Amino acid sequence: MEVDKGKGEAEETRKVAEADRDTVTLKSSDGKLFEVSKEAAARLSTVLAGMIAGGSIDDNGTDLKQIGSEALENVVDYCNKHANSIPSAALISSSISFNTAPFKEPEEWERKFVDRLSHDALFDLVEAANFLGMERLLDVTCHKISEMMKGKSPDQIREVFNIKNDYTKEELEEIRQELAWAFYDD
Amino acid sequence: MATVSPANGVRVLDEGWNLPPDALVEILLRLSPICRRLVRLVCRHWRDVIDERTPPIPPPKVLAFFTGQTSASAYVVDDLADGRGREVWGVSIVPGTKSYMDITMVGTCNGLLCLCDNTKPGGAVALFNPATREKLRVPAVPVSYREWYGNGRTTYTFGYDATAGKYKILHLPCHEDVSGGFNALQAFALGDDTSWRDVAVPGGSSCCPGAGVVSVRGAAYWVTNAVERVVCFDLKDERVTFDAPLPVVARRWYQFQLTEVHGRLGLAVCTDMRTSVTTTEEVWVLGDRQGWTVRYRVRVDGLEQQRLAAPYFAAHGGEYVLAVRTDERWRKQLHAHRLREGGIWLQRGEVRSVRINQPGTKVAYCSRGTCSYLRTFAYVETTEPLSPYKIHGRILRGSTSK
Repeated sequence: MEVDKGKGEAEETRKVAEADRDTVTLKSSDGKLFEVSKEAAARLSTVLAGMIAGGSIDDNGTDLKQIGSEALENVVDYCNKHANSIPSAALISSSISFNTAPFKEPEEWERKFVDRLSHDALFDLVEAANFLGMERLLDVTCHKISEMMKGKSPDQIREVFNIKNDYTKEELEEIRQELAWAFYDD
Repeated sequence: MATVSPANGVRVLDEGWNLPPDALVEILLRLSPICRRLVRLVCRHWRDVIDERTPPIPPPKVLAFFTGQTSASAYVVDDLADGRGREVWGVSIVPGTKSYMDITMVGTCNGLLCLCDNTKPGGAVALFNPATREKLRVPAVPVSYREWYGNGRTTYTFGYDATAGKYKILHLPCHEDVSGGFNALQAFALGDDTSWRDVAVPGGSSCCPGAGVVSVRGAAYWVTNAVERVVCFDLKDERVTFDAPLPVVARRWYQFQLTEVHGRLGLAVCTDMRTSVTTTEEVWVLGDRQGWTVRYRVRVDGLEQQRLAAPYFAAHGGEYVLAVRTDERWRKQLHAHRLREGGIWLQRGEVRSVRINQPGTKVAYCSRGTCSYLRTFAYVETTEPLSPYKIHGRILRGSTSK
């Protein structure tokens, strides 16, 4: 970012300081401001990386109208934690070096991070991660939701996620039949 | 199937589920193929997303499990036509030690292997996913069942209740047959149980472990000690739903083996084990209404002694028949025989006659020395994690809440 230096004016000094800052300020839909590590934001979010590179970051708080303050707080929290977390790649590769899994398992701190979230907060965070192009956070949150489904019956899943069953009784029976064949007849 | 998919980006308004379609795809991709099939029952939108945006379930591969006194190994056949495959798990005894091994495969569900170490009192059961190398130990059965040793014959079975999405392991206390049968078996549901539960069965129940204990389509089956009846235990309701007489009356030198045939319970009966030149095996299938019917008649001619593999012998929808060959040094090998009319669905009442007079394609052999026992299973590779089922893991808390 080009900043006109040398005038000595207060305003300019402030601008220089902003440009050199290693954080960016994000503004939620309800107007709350959050600071996040610029490096982590650029590394973890393709959308924020684009905004930083394109200079469309507002020093007074970049508007993210689609994201509420609770979700944004979690996004920022995640970015900052990620910036501070010790890379445990060595640890991971030694334990699952036999096979490259299609999805990298969440790290311990990431598990803890999503485990403490309420149901609504988790879903809002998936949306925020999706909106901001945060692949890793999307991975971690989707992993959590998929784990919530495992070992549950369709009825339990509908209950947990508050989904309406729009099948007719006949359709359900038909799918159950299909299900049996799909599993056991190659 | 006519399905209408919402355009990408359109929100589907379920009250509690308002995630972008891409996120739903991401979530569904993380489920095992079996689990993904099951959640098609949740709602139409999920069904459409699963059908259109997630990969179809691949046909099961053949998994051969070799049990020997000095080793045990699991071998997955990737290609039945050319015999290509790989060992996915194996252990060998350390040379010089005098101990012996006895590890058998209880069964497979999807891509999960359920193994039992029979040298441990009562048998030590563990689950293993070869694709992720994840392991999970199942607690030992209660002390009163630990005195009996399996001697290579497992009295456990591993099944999947698709409607509830639950994996369950059953233990049959067959040693109590001697004292007039058992009136309870032990059940362990992954993700729910922290120890084995006694489940009542009709008094005087018995089991003949030599015929195998198999789980097919949400039910476990075993043959009574007198080799007279087959018992069906529903994995969902956890009760004996029926017992039925066997289609063939047992005689000396007959051999009975429970199998799985295209999603149904099968019974392989060999009536002429003692004749050396030709053997005939018939496979009966238990239908819903008409009871037992013969579906396969397999005749093995010539020099090669081959016997039908069990419990999984009709691979790739019946395109191949699997047979076990015992060589001159008592080593077991798995051979695949491609059927000319294979893959064509059997009509009602039709019996498929198979004549084996060629060695077929050798698709698996034990590379870890001798092995005296070979069983075959269906295997669908999955990266489904076992961690949610860990008993002392954090994740269990979430899965137990209703």
